[in-house]
Amino acid sequence: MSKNDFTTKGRGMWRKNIFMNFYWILFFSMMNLVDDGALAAESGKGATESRIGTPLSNEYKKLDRKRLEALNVKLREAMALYYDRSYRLALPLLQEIADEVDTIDVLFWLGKTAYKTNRPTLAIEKFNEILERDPSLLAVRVELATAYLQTGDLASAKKELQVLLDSEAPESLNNSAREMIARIDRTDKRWFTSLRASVGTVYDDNINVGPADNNITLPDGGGTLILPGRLRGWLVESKVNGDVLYDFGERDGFVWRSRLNFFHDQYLDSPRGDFNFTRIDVNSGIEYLTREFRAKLPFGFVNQRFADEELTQGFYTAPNIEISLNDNLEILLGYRYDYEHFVADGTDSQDNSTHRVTLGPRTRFDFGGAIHIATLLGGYTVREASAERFSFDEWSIAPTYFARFQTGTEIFLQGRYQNRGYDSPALLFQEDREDNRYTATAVISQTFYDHFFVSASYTYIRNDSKTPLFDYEKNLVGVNMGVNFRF
Amino acid sequence: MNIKHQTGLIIVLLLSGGVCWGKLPERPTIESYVTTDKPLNVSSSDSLGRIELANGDVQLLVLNTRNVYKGLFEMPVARGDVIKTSANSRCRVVTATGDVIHLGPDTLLGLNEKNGVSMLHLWQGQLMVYGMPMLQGREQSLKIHTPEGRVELKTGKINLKVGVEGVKLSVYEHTAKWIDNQGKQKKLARGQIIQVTGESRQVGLLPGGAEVSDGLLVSPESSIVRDGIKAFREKDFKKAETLFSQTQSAYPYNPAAAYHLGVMKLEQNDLKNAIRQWQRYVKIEPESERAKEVKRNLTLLVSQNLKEEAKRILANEAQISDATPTPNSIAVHPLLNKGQEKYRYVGKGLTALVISDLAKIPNLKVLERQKIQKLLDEIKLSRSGLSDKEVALRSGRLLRAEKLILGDYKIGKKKGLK
Repeated sequence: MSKNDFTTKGRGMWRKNIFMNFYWILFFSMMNLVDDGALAAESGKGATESRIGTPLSNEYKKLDRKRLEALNVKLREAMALYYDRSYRLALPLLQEIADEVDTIDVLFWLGKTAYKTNRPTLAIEKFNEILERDPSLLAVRVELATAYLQTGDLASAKKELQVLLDSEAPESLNNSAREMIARIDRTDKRWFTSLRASVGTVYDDNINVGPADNNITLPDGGGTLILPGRLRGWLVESKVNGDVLYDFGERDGFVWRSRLNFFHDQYLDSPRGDFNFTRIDVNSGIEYLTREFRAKLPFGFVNQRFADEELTQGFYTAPNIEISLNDNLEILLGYRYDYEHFVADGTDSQDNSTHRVTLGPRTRFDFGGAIHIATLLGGYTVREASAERFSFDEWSIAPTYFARFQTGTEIFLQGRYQNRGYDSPALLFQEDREDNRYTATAVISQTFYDHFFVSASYTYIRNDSKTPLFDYEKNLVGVNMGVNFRF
Repeated sequence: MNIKHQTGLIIVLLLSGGVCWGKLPERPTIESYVTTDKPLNVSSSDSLGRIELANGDVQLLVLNTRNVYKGLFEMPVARGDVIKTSANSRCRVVTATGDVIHLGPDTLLGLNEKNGVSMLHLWQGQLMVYGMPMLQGREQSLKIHTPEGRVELKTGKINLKVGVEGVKLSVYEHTAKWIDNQGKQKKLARGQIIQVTGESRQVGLLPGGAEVSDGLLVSPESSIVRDGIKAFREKDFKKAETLFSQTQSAYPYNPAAAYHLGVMKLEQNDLKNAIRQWQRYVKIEPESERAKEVKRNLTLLVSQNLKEEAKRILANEAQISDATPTPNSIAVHPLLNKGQEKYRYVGKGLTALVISDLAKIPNLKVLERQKIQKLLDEIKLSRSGLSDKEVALRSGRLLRAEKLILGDYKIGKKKGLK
């Protein structure tokens, strides 16, 4: 993962949360609203609760006194459980009572108990029974809407709330209904877009990736390579990340995501301008999302420019899955295939196909007012290039830690170790090339006024290679600022 | 003052409620009561309810006799009586109309009644009150008087505190009405709280977790269970059984009581009641780790118990067979397979379906298939030469069922199930 991935990850959190949990978030927020609604209703005209004492069913009159008292005892037992939130135990008792005497009150409590125990179909049935008898019980429509939401039937929920708004309901009930409709509308939204752009400056202490030793003796009397030494300097780094996501509407279902990543490093003076680098990555693909399982299948195109000339064109696909073992632990499994074609003259020997597999756990937990996410990914990569000296087998391991605090502060830390064995020696060398690369990245970012952020980053890279030409160290220190919008 | 003004004053007084229901009476002089262990007799007409459960130092001050009673369990309460809890003590009272009142520590509560309306007088301490509904509707509110005013509650759940900082009323379910001593009313809905100190009145929203913490402080359930578990661990089974039985009587869905009573019944080799308690426990806490273990043990116990029951019935067959069948009972004999042997397993499912359908009929007692099968096995072992139908009839009679369902089935290749 590059430091660029940090912004991607940070940016992706909101959407992931929305798409993993938005139905549940909506449902539970509605539950709160309904409680508020019931609260308002209970104190207002047309509320079921205020009708206690005037049950809209005379069926109890058919019962003999003894039976009625026995059922009253059962009702008290059920309501004690209901008041103490033991809905699972209250449900069968209320069902038994309702089978014999279905007063409005009993049906109402049964309906509420049903959706509190995740049985929205039963709740809908009971609330509809109440409304068939007395459509003026407007508070029941709020409960019915909530039960519809639990089934994911947003349209029916909205319809019930609209009926309420078209009636002469108390203002407090109207307010609850309006707020619920607004939340449904937000959830009913199908298109989501986000844009994050930043610009900053970075100091690079090894622009040309110069080796540790400037004088390199070539084998078998091949002479000595005298290198110009490290170039150091400032660059301006620009990034733009855009996402467009279409939700197909099911709680557990498909979304289509398209993404653009633009990255440009502009060195401020010549000859350092020869190292200007641009990368454009566009991908699009379908994703299947549930609370326990996520699968993604993106297809992408990459174009890279170096020294202001086109360097490569490539495409890739990266199917991957995430499986939640519990609320705090996930397993990530990914595969990526890349094909890369080098455009510049004389570079086609570097054309390559790359296969990469990654596997590892990710844990997420809340602590100290912050969300913490830690990941450990192991990877294996095989690259087949036109020239063997560019082909390699690599294994890697990368621990990552990310934290987001309520203050809008984000911290990202990553370490990575790669062991890369090339299929044949580098040009001019005879010994097989093997590199051990160590990378450490640290980023801290602060968001302010919701849409703006500043961040500071540091990256250290050390490449220990058996081939002295590729033995180098590099430090990058930067600050940048940017904007972040979601639509 | 002219007549017009006088009439107006009377109307205002009546509307204010102050005249109708009065204010909190003087605090009783506890010192004038004498501790006794004489039996307490309360006529049903005087009874306002009963103390269902008490934990710690709880006293009942009886107005008529000026006696004080302690060690309260299922103790009747009459008009004018006062209940006093000391520090770390709790108590549960059920009124004649089914309302439930939990008294927290250091509480002084008087019970009264006027024109059929229950009235409570809370001089100090804390209550959790459950106003219970009735199928035929509830016309009268429960009225609770405090030094600052009174609460009226029909149905719902409230918490009421009276202390040096005044009166605090929290509404956890439905609605409640607060009427202060000047007659000002405020209707409170679920999730609201009002604090009244003299002239000052503040209404707000309940803080998160308040209901749980108030419940723990006021309800005797958790403290008596804690004492029961302690006695159980110290192997004082007599005390433990008493405490858990009392708990279960007041809180039929308490999981700890059901589980521990099951263990103790098993220790006493009372298989039937051990099974009953553990079945209850599994119903209350089906997902707990302990329930999984209990379920495994239950399977063994049920089988063992059935065998013993069958043996006992056979030993007394002569007397039992002539006894009057259990009214409205029906025994379902396992359906016999008349077709190919490979369809024998279907019989259990079909029988279960019949039992399941019959069980939905109110007032009809369906005797269990498992019980009948076990009995048949026993009969088969002890006698021979009887046809299956005769054996089944006899098993139904043995089980004292009024009616018996017999049947068979055949699954053919073309005609399906017959």
